[in-house]
Amino acid sequence: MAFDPNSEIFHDFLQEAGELLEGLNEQLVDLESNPDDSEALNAVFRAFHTIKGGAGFLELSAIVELCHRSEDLFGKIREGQLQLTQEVMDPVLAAVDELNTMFEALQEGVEPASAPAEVLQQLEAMLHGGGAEAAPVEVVAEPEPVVTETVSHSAEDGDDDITDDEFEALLDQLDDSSEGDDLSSSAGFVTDVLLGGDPNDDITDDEFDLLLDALDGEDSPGDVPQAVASATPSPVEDQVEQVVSQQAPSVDTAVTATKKAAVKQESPVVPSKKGGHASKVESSVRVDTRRLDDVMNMVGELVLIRNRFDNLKQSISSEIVDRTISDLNLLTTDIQEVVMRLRMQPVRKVFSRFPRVVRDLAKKLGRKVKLQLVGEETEVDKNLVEELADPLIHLIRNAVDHGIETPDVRLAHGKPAEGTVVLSAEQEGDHILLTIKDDGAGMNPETLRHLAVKRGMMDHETAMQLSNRALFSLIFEPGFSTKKEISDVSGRGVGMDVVKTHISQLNGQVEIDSEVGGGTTISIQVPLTLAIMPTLMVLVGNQNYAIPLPGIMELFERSLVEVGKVGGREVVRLRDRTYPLIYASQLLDEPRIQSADQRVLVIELTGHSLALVVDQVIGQEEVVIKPLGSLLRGMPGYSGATITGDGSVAMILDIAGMISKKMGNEFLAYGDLGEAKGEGMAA
Amino acid sequence: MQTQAAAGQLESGANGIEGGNFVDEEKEVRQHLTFVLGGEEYGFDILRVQEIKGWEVPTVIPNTPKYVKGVINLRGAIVPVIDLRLRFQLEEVRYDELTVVIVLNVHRTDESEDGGQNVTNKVVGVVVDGVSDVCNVELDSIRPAPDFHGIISSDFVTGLTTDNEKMIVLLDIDHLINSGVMSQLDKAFDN
Repeated sequence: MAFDPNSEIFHDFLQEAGELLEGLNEQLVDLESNPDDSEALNAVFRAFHTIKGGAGFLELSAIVELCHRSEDLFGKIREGQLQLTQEVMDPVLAAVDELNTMFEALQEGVEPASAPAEVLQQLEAMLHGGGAEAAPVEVVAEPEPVVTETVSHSAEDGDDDITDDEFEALLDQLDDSSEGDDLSSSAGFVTDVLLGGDPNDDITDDEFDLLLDALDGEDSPGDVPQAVASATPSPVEDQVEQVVSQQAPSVDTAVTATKKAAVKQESPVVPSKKGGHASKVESSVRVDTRRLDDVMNMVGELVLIRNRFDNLKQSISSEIVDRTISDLNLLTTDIQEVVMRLRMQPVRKVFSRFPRVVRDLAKKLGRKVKLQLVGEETEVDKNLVEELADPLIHLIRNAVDHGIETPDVRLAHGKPAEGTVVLSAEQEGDHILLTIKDDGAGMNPETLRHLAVKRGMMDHETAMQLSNRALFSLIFEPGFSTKKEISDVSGRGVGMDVVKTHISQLNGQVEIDSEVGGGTTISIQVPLTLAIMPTLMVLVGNQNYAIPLPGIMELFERSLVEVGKVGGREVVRLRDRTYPLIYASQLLDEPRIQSADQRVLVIELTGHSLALVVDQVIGQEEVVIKPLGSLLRGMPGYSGATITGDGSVAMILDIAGMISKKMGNEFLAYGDLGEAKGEGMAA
Repeated sequence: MQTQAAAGQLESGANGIEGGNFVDEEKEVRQHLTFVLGGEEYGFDILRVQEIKGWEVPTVIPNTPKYVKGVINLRGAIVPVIDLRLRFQLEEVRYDELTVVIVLNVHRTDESEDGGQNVTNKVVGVVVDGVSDVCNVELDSIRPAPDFHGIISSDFVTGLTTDNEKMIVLLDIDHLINSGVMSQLDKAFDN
């Protein structure tokens, strides 16, 4: 099978091995912090092994070589001959990086070149006495000479295979030897396993690999637990090892099998669970994402047509038309939901790369940081998963770099030396909530206040009025970085405002809370999908605008709202909270009018709580977000456009962006009225 | 600059052969759509013209420069409409039954990360005073534009030609929209 970037097998390999590779980073970092987790160890071993197998089939020797060595290394670790330390992990991670590079080459249709010699050498160095080698091999007690003979004999048989007969003979001899009973049961087990896994008589290295797979329960789920049950405790195993450890490779493998069985014994649930998995019939289909996008677009159009019918309903009054339209309504809603589901992916896809990011960064900065992932199975729209990667990476780097202190500082403050960053995801109604929480130093609001004035963002007086929450939000303003020296990790002051812009482009919100010495929590709320959004259609001037529904808390008739003044600016007070009163007409360059139709929307957005006056509320509408095209992309204040029921275009407003653009610091000058007591309000 | 653009024109003219857009090898011809802008005659390569629409009031986008007239719904796609007359500071701008929107395909070439080139296509509507004609322009007859003081800066001009003794200024659509309009917009959005 020569290298052919167009073959189907090649694509399957890319896909499958690519997924394994993606998981490897996470598993490896996991394993490093938890070296005794035999399940994780096996998973890593298997991943290398599977990639190697596929690459071998496609004759991608560079990948085979790299995987082979990594696999050997982990084989050794599994046998307990090597301790899993950071020194071992570094070359392995380097190898994984190298594999990633090779995969990138493959995706471009280029056959990857061999890995750099030093990566291979480092792996090799670890493989041959990486220092921490456990020693039982050297201390072999004098084995029964007979046994050695037989084994050597079998090994010299021309090929390395042990036939069943030979094995039996070996067993017999073992039986006859002084260790007698115990050994026989153990050896019997070994045969059991071997036979259960592979009906062939010969046990070559390759077949043994198959056997390992079998042990994992893919081929013979039933046999494995049985084998485990018959496995005898460790002393026997040691004896076997003593007898055969220095012999032919085939015998070594038998020992591995015993070890493996012992490992399995520690978690007997695993094989049966896996077995259950394997028996489940494959019922999924891989679909090109572009097709899904097409379907989504068409559903979008369908929703628009439904909206138009809804409009028409008012002009045609017929019961049967009404009923048909409401049927259509129900169906469209269902289809919309199903299609949305199709595009959902677990956030694990983004999360899985973070443990590695944190590990490398922590190492570089001399911190000790543990990353906890919560709710990885939460599902969000595929596009959103990709869009979230950048902002999250930024926030996580920030948490490690700015949040978590160095171990000695932490200890001095009575905290454990190792800091924790928790990244969690959960679904809340029609949006998803992501939080990044660290137990680091936290932010001092007074420092922020001081900095805001120093950076010329506002005058002293305004700064004094800001609440803690408003101060924390300042870090999302452009050019605001609290880190004193510039590191190459973060601290250039470009990060956080980019995060905020990014999130608000996704119609999401960022919120931040912090406690000095207690750590910082950043929460991100984003809608489940990017394609369809519930909005409130409003009229301003003579044009319709759509305002995203999340964020709109309440709706009042204008005449029922009491308007007061604070510092010369209009505010409204609702239930103990005071909001700046903003006219949509002012934001949108329309003349300000007075009409009985006017409504006040109470909107709560990150750092922007306000009461917005619109000229008229038309109603709630699910809109399909249409891209604005490259010409108008990046326009502040709008998150897109949509086509309304009558076929005209309505702009979707990004209120927070519009206010920042239009009012800037003037809005900040309101201070955070929300938390002020609203004293001195002229009723 | 102009000679380069003319060379580009020749190259794309070669493509035109497949479209049957020529007379014979000696006289390659490109069809151009001509239109009036502030009393002057201009031309666009007709292969870039998607359609011509009558003027309809678009949805206004507040807080954008005046020459962005807004967006229209072109069979489900949102298409921005730019008034070239306003962009190039013409005094008298009327919207009447003669005012038309020429819907253009604009190409933008970006360097992609791996060093290759990404060509993206976008659809833009431009408002002009009126469409006059479709004329066959012999590529040989295109003369480089002198530094004249027309409405549209000579940066965006590929060359001059004449049709029935009338001078036609041929415009480079991609350059006009990408640099003449887009970069202006970017500046406006940044402020």
